[in-house]
Amino acid sequence: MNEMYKARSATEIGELLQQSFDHWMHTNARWLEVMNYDPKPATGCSPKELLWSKNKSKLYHYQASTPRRYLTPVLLVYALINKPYVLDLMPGFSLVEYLVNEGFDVYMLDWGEFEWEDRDLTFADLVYDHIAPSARRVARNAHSEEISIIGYCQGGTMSTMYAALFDRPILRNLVYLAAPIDFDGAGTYDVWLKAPGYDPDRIADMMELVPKGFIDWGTRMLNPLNNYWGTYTRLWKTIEEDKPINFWKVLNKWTQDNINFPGGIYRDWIRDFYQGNKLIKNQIVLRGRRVMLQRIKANLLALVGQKDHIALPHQTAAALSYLGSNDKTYQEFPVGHGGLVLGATARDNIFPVLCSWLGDHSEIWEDDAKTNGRNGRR
Amino acid sequence: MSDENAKQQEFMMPNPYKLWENLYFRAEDSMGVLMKKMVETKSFANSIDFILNNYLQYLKFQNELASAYIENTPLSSKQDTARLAKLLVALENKFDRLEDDFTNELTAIREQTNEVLEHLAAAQKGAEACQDDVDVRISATLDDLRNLIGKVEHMEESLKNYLGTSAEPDKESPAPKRVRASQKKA
Repeated sequence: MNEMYKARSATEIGELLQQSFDHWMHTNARWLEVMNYDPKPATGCSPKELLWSKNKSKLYHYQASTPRRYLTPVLLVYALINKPYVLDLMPGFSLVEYLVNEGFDVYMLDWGEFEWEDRDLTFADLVYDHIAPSARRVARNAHSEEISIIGYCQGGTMSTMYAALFDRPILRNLVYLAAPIDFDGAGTYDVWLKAPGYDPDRIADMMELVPKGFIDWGTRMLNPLNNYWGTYTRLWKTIEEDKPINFWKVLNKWTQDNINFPGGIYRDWIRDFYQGNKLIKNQIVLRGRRVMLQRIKANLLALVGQKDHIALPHQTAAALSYLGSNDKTYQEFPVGHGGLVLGATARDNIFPVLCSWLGDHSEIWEDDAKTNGRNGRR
Repeated sequence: MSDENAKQQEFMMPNPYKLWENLYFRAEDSMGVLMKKMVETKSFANSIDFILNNYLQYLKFQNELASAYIENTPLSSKQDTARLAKLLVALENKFDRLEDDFTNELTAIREQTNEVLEHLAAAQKGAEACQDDVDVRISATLDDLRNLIGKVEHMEESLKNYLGTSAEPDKESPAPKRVRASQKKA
């Protein structure tokens, strides 16, 4: 629709007005249709097999049609907020797909959906009983003594705890995607979670299993108008400008796909991390063992979004100071929290940087093994 | 000339729909920024905490009431189902641990078996080398023996000839031919 009408008569003006009105009505009708009736788009389409499962969590191994180039396997550890298929959103916009096509052996730990029986889970349970066994299985399945871990958001924080506590399999590379390590100056969360009336113990005790709606509310309220209303006006504008809406639909599906949060983990997350900032002080103790960040010797790559309002850039950058790695790389991109794995910037700028760094820091899959095919032994 | 007239008559008018759209989205952006600033204030945090704490108090009351009611009715509660699920999870954990132990043991056995096989292969190679040596020595000994037997036969022949010339034996009952054990064997 043009900003200005150019006409020679009142009739022409009338016709143009009618055209604009019809376009608007069509836009409105389609907008309502998309919000109410359109089927949800397919997500997480990369072919995969279930390697191991425990309780609700599942460890997936992604199948490749391209030859494997790197021996060191890659394990993706996602956060406990929303679902991990954001890392494999749709063909052409998938970190998993990109890694697989680059010749990496890729695995992903999906936490599943926590239910009432999981309300007492703690970070110790997730690190010892889920991440550590997954890492062992990944190494065994890939016939490698070393692995790489990519931790997204809270998944990066959990991967850090794992890396500090476990020596085998050897963690060769640790990649952070908007993963908070230092919890001081956490923006709006700092104001909310350190307010005198906010008591995580009370919330965990009363709710036990913190409902997904509560977690979703806490995330969306960081930018309320944009997240609650702006999402739908953005859709309207996309339809009005005759642009494809598939990406909006996929993204909207993901943002609404929340999971419950175990009360035990909620308590730990708020009290020990946001309020106590214990991770960088080496005060986190899991099953009697202290998480010492200096013990982490893996090569480190920290990728952050400059506009991220959930994990602010300095929160991830702190890893450069506190981790004991000798090889540390830090890079910022002009995107928000999700922009590191979503959209064209991620696909065109961030994934290539990640893959290139990971390739340089991974062991090459040997030639004799190549002849045995993708899943051949080394 | 007519084209120029037409151009002169053409006039422009703003699209009211587009005007409204621009106005709306600019207003939304401004409101968004305003609201974002508002939620970042301490007073907002205090007010939502007040609402949250009241809700938690209500939740506590509701849970206690529901628990008391469920306890006295022959119905299974959410807690009962969760308890059962926890038992299943614990059982799965045990299986998982067993599987882990079994895999570790299997790996250890495989490694040990490989070591034993390597030792055996080395021993076999040694034995083969040793056997070759023994074969050479046996064939040399056999050659010596054959030479010895030949010499003995030659000596016997000489002795026979000597005895035949010195005393003619009885032709009806010839003396039995003596065969040495070594000859038999040969």
